[in-house]
Amino acid sequence: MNTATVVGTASMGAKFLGALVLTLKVLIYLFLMVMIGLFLMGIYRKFTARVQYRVGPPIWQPYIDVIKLLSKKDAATKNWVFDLGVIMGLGGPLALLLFLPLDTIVGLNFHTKGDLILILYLAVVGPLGFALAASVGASPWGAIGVGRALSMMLGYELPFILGLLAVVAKDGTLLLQKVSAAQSMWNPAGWHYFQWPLILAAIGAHIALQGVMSEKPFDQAIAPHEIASGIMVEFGGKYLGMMLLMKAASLMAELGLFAVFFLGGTTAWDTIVKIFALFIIAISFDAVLGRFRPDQAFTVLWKWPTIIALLGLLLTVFA
Amino acid sequence: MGMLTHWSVLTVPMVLVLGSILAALFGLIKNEKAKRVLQMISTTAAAAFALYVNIALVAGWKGVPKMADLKPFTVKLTETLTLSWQYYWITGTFAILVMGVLMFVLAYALETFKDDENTTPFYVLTPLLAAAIYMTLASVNLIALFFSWELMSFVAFLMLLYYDRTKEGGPWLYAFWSGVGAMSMIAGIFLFYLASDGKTGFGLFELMQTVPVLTIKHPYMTLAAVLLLGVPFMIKASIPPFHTWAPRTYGSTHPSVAAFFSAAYSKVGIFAMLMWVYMFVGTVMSGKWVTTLGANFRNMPTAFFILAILLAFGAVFTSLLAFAQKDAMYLLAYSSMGQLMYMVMALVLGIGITVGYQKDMNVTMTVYTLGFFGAIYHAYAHGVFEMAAYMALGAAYKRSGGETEFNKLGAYAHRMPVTFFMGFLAMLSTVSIPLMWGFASKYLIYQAALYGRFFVLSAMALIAGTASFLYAFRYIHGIWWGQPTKGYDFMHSVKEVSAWGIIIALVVMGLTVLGGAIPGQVLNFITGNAVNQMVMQSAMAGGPLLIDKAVYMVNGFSILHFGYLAILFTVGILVALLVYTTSGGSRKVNLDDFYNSAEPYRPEWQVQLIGAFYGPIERVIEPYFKVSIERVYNWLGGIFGWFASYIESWNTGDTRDYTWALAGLIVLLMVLWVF
Repeated sequence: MNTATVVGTASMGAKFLGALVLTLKVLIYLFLMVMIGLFLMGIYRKFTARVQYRVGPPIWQPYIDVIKLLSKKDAATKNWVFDLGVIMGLGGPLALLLFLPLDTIVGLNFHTKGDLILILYLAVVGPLGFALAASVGASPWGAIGVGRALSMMLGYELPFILGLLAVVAKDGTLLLQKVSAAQSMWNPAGWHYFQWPLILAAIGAHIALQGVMSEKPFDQAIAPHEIASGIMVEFGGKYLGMMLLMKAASLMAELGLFAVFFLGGTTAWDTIVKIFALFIIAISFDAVLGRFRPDQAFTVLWKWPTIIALLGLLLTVFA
Repeated sequence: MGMLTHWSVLTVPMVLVLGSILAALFGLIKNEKAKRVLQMISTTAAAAFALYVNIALVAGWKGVPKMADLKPFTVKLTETLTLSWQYYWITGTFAILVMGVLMFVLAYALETFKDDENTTPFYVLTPLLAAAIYMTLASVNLIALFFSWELMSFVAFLMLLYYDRTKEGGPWLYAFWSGVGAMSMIAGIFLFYLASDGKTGFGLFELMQTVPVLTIKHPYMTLAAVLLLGVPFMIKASIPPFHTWAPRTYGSTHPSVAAFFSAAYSKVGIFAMLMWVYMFVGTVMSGKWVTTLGANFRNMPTAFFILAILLAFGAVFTSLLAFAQKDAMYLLAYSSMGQLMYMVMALVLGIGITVGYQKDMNVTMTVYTLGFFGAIYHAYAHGVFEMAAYMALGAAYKRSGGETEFNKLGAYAHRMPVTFFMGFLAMLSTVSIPLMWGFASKYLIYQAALYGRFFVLSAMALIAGTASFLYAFRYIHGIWWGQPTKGYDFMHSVKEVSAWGIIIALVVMGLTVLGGAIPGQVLNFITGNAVNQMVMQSAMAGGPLLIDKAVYMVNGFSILHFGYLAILFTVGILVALLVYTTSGGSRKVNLDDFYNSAEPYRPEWQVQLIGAFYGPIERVIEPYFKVSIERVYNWLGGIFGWFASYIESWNTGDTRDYTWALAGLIVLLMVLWVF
């Protein structure tokens, strides 16, 4: 065995070890994000219950639910595309999380390989997957749910995009790490949220965020009392369990994106704190507000938050 | 392929015509199946040859002469006027798309024509139309362009007339607008002739350069000439306000015809708009127009900014209209219009900024490259996904006995999974899901708009993109999933397409992903390395742009590594798969076994939500669509009709009355002349 072979073998081994470490980091990161997301969902249930003078389930209830649902052996499926839709539904948000700067928590830097446009389009893979599964499910409730979810998406995307583009206009970049670096992490005066005229864009996007998260008054797509939970109607067992995981991952991605753009960017763990704060605000409104009709919600979203965000964008561009 | 040295620009059209003639001869065969197969083979082979020649020329394959060596075809009309057709790279770039679509549509037509439909006109006329399109793409002279354009329009009209499925007047609307376009083009050419004091040779490249000079001498006449010349191009690219023919024309014909029209024929409009935008630049930036139409507004000449805003509005409106459609053909027609507007908007942005934004050459070159090639790449992406969507719909159309309305379709994917997947991937590409061709092309357009700091325009384009999710899902749910509207027994008789159809579907699916996975490579291939050259020029000037094999980057502004995207997307899916496989089991239940929330649905009832899928927001946006340009045209038509009736009312039926009237007029003129 000559020296070159030894070096070659060593470098192969090092490469393998490097790949293994990288894979572990990715898995740990995704696990962590989903776990925090489930914890947020637990807070949501407890918080809402307390606001409504109920005791509510324990905070760890979503973990119990997911374990129970994933271990059930009798979930109904209509077709293999139903299963594919669910896999796509969970896979999309997980891939999305890998492109967010939150990945610095475990020392990854995949977020430097994509930008805002990629994130906006990756964000729809998950919902589209579950919508496909709901469509395969063939229940009319599911179809109504999908119709409503997509209608809402059209509603909230406009103010949300206008808000984000105002930041792009100010910082002159679509790169999340640059948007992050353009703000000060802990000093709110250095956050985009509290800078004139970006505050207008932030408020517009923040209202839209309530729709992005499907919280009241924009939760028409779920609406358990009206349409039997809409998209989720045909989901049971592991399918519903995976949907809960998708919800957890999506929560982290949506709130994380907002925090990066408006709440001082991210270096790592600070974003988790900001995500908690944002979530508490969102569920506070959710707990006390009613639900709009779909047409009302759409009209509201394309009116007030859009006008506010557009004003913020125009003032930023012309500043 | 050394033989190509002996061939001219006419070789490809001649082979296509030969294929068409063979298809006509095979049309005499009595056995329907043999007839269709032979027609398909003869025309598909001609299309495949045409595709091969164009790819070989553009890619500069070994043993193939350079495209400049391909002999031009010229006809000398007068001393100053020679009609000329010549092959240049942009001809090849668009011809690859047209011939590729032609080949797939012809090959797949076996799966889309019902047994009682006559395929001969389709197989005879489609290659002829492709030949005319090719001649249009190779025209280097306005008169040559006019002849090719009219030949193309006429063949297209014949196709529409024969395959007028719904009898809603679609072909006649098309014929009317083609007539308007023809007259407008002739008027534009005539004004060019006057503006140049009879000295023009009507060469397209020559005109692009001389338009500024003509504008200085005759500003109004030259502007009118350019605008009139643009009308037929805008009609073909269905740009507002000349778009009203498109939905009814695309919607009323056969899915395979619509596939070729929407995916390939409409691209002639994009090609023509590409040339036209350069001419428009020449006019608005010259003579007296510089201070008005050419005045800089938000980094662009005012006229260009208005045009870009109009196109972005058009894209949003057509996308909103698309999801409200109850018929799949109409839905795809509106979708197609929206996508075409994206392309022209990108062209207008890219070319407009070269004259408007003078602060920084790097920004100008970057936005120009992104806009120009973004438009071309999106033309390809649209060509592939629109073709696939129509072809998949065509297969369902055949099996459903000719249905295209959503409330008569549904659940076909259970019996036709491969065809569904072709349609599904087409829709994923339409809505720009990452790793699909539609994403890689739209991303370039978004980059162009955002880097040029056109934020409101970008937001409108992004919202049009969001609206596309709504219509894409309606297509997926309405045709392929949900409950079968024709009953379960009928569904059992539905069969997947043949092995031939499956092979075609798989190739088309592969293309949809290929263009989205290694976009830089594909874009360079179809443009004959023009992108690389442009990027290198930009880099030498210190430009921040990079369009590599699988990387898009504007340094410091945006980045997208398609390789990382593919890997990380796969990681996400694999983790989801891991959760799926390690968790509990599942059992398959019947389609009619669904949760009905205590409603008294019975299994034999089909409860398919289709009609009011987006009912709530349709009601919200409906009032805003009351302003219809078509109504304005109808009102104008009504006035002309009234005027014609009024003239007709003069008719007394007696020739002597007119003789007396004429004599009176002559006397009146003489009296006026004397005094």
